[in-house]
Amino acid sequence: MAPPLIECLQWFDGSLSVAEHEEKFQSETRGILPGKTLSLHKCAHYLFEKGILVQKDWMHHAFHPEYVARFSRQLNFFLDIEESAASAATLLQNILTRKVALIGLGAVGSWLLKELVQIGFQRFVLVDPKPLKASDRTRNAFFDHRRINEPKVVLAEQYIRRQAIKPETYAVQMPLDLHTHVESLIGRDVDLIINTADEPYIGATSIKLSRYCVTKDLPLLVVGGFDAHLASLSEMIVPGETPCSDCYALHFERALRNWKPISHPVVNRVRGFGGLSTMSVFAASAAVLKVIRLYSKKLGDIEQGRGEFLFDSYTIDKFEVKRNPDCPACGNKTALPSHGN
Amino acid sequence: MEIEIQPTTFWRIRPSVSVIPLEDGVFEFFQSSTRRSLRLRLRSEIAHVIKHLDGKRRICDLCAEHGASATQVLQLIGVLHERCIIEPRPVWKTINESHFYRTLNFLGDYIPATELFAAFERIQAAKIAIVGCGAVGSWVAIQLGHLGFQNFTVVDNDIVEESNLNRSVFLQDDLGAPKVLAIKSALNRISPNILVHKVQKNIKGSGSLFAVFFDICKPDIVVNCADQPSVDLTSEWIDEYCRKEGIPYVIAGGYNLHLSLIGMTVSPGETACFNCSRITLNQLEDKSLRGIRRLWRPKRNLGSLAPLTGITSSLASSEVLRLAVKSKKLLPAMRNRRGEFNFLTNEISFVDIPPKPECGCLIHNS
Repeated sequence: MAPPLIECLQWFDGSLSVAEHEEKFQSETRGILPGKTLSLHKCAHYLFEKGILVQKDWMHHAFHPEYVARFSRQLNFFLDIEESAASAATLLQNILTRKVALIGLGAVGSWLLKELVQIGFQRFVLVDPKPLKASDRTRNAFFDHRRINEPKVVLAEQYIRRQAIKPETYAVQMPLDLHTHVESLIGRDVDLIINTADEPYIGATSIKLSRYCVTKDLPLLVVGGFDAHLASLSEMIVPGETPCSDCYALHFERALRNWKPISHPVVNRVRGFGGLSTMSVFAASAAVLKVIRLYSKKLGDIEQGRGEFLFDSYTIDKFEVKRNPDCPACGNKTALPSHGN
Repeated sequence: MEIEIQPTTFWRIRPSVSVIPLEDGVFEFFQSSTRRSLRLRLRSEIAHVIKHLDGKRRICDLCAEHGASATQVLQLIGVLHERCIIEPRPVWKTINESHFYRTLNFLGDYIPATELFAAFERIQAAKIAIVGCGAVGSWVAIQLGHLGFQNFTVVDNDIVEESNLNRSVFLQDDLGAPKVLAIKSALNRISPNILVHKVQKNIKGSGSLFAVFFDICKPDIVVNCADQPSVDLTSEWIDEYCRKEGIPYVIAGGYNLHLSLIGMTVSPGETACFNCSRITLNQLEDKSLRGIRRLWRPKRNLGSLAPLTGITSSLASSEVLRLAVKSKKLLPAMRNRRGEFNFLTNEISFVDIPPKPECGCLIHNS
């Protein structure tokens, strides 16, 4: 790009039209660049195509003012990754309109919900059977010492109703167990299921939900958050594209077949495990990034595998896991159109 | 807590530790919370005793039952305690009764059982100053509150605006309120016993910091979350204040071009300081960027994203925890380096920031 054109880029602060800038440019460079014809208009058009220049009021063309006031900085971030105003607006629109079923509102689920609402999700089905306990102080994002013994779903639902611009919530205070009829629990119209329920065991609840999602062509995000997976990076399961929970279970069953801990001498280990709120926040944040990637046009590549953040060194351990072609749950599944569209 | 390793005492394998028999009598002790391992080769009768450490039977009874030498087993108990594999009865009973059992159990992977409660008391007693209470600062405050910190000074002159709600912990009900007041409310929802000193002021130099903390109390740890007028300037001021006062500090990212920066942790006189980082980063600067000039753009509205704030703040808060514990067994991980979380790949990269002799900070402080 010719240096005189570069110098003029700082004029583009939205105060003048492109035609007015062109006129100013031609008038200021007249006689200075003999024999050369430079067009600021062409340059601006090129940068517009690349998502570097945008229309001054592009956000207001796409959203009501209350959404712009809340999400203007996030839209600017989306503009960087989506490379066009239209795609950035579509990404936020997806976030505002998709319905999420969140199973589990504990150490990771509560932080995850907080961040999802912050970035604009507002349609939720919430499932958790438990009340808030005093010991949740160390881990639950909605902890309020005045509200101990109230159901966690009630606290979470109130948070959404207060924070979201146009909230739509449905809260269920019951567990997801192996006998639960998933569709009766969460309804038919959810767009994404997120499982953070670690009781009776996250492997079991995830397999149940994963099989449901494979039959319904729904994405499932398995998040966190227990024991050896305090800061897991989460697994996005997209039927037909990624491994499903059965594929993961089989993979790790084989990988760990020679690694068999003895039966632990301590029988009741309920309060014997540790965790930090900082690791819950890390796990929740990594999971929310995966949700954004799911609905992004540019970042729509779905990762396959598992990652763990290691507190010891702040490094990330990654394990690649491929789809199992013989998987009884998803082996014959073909890829679906992108969820970002 | 004073604990003696005696034949008549009760010890158990910590519930979060898995014991895996490998080949040739080798056993792996795997700390599941932190994914760290210790491998030991054990004689068969001693292995039997260890495998039965359930906390219900005395060491001497287990030794008799499995024909093991009590002397040898007690020596091993000493090693396993030091390496955070086992815990004595009084410790787990106290952990069990605590609302902080999760934090204690996690710290128990690093701090031997008998030193654990003293370490946690240091956390609760630590006076934390958070300078800048925007997105990262607000998240740091509440994570520390959840971890068990009880004493805060929060410094910020802004009020909560609608545009803050997409990435900070503030509520719709906080709109229009000073950020320091909103943070105090958030911390006191966690516990009414958390003490919060509110300082609704702009920091304009290290002198302001001396004045602020002279009026209240000298902090034990300072966290820089202020990006106005720039993170470089606020870090410089905090570095100057903290080096004079001998206070460790954490630089908590994340701003415009470094939304998910994992800032460095500085212990004056021991580690590289902020100025050392500037010297190193200047030396590392990509040659292709030298001489580059920024176009003047006064009305920039830069991007931001909640999960990146979450990641930056979670690591900064972990650093504060490591500093507050004051134990060589759990040192800050961001001494002499800084990192960046890549949101496209979920990877973290680090740059080493060694102490620079030309900075002179170590000589000056020592």
